[in-house]
Amino acid sequence: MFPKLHISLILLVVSLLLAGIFGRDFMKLHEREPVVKGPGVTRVGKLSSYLPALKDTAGDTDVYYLEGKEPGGTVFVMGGVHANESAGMLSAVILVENAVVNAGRLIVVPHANESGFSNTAPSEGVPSRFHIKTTGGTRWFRYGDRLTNPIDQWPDPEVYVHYPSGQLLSDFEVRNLDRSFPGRPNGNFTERVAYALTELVRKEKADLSIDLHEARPMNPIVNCIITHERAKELSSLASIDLDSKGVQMRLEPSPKKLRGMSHRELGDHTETLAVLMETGNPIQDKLHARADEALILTGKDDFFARAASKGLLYVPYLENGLSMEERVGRNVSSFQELVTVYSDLYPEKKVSVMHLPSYDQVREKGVGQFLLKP
Amino acid sequence: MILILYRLLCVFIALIIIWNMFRSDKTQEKVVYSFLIIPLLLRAFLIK
Repeated sequence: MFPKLHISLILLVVSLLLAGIFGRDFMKLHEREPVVKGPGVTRVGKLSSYLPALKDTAGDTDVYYLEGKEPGGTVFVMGGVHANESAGMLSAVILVENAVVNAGRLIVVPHANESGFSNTAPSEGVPSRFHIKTTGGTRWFRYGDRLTNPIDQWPDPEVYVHYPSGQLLSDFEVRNLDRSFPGRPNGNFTERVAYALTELVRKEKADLSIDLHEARPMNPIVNCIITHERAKELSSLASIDLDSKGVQMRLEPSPKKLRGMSHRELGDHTETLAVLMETGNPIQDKLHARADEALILTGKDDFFARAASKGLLYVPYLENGLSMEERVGRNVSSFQELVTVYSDLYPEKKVSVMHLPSYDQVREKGVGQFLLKP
Repeated sequence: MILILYRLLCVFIALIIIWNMFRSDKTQEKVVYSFLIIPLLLRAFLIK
């Protein structure tokens, strides 16, 4: 009945073993990297406290509160809305591990879409982790996908209908957190995460919300601050100040007709001043050669160098690539500038944040210098 | 609900492939079947 039974049994055992080995690799994507509570962190909460339905799901994530002794305004920062835009997540981690708040409050969510960090884009051949040397040893961080893991939300519809605008978007955008704001409590998984983040902004009365992203160097919307119209004055002044310090961050208006993005929906549905920052990340573009850890960290690629020489990039392609140092330094210094200008414009809601490295310091000393030992 | 049906489908197809692997008398076919069941097992356990 079963010819060559012994071969079948051996092959079945081999298949199970291989499934176990591959499965372990996949399971490592669900392991969350440590984020160290810095000297300014006064408490750590959970996103599910703003929407209990997220508790014990892949959508729950840590919320870090850095509260000053003096009263003031509240600034909310989120990284990892797109889990493949590493400098955004890493900049948020730098804030958690270094910032000390004297006046006002800083609330940071480094992994806004936790589910996105538990998968990588199919067929892209990207690494699932990258490592950074610090003074206290090597730290690891996940490199995820732009979208929510289909394990947590599946299947995609043929057309995604954004709530509440009713705008029609491509099918896969249904798992894009930055197309799901303001979200709804009884919506799909990604909409629930968006709703919890919107609730955080509402309940904590965040005066300024900053969403940290990265973009393809061949995309015109890069090295810029995308700003809701109510935050235009703040962003314009910050952009001018940054320019005078040698950090070019252009100003981009938040499009009114493209729905679901944090800078549009948080600005429209809450009282906060909403902005989003983009730095250039070569691994996100299709132009690159091998997609490995080095590309995430250095942004160095011969194809990009050639494209830059032909004027095809929208970011200055530096001699040493577009390193993590350049991108994180740009984000952190832009954050500092936005907070400074905000405090100047609204002195009654002053927010004073200390001990953050400057653009030049991050570029010279490296990101690892500002990461703590877990 | 749709996820439960998906898992059941993965388990069902994996069992059919395993059955065919045991029934086949060609070693080459057995090897192909053994590779085919790996992604189905991972999907059945919702690992990816």
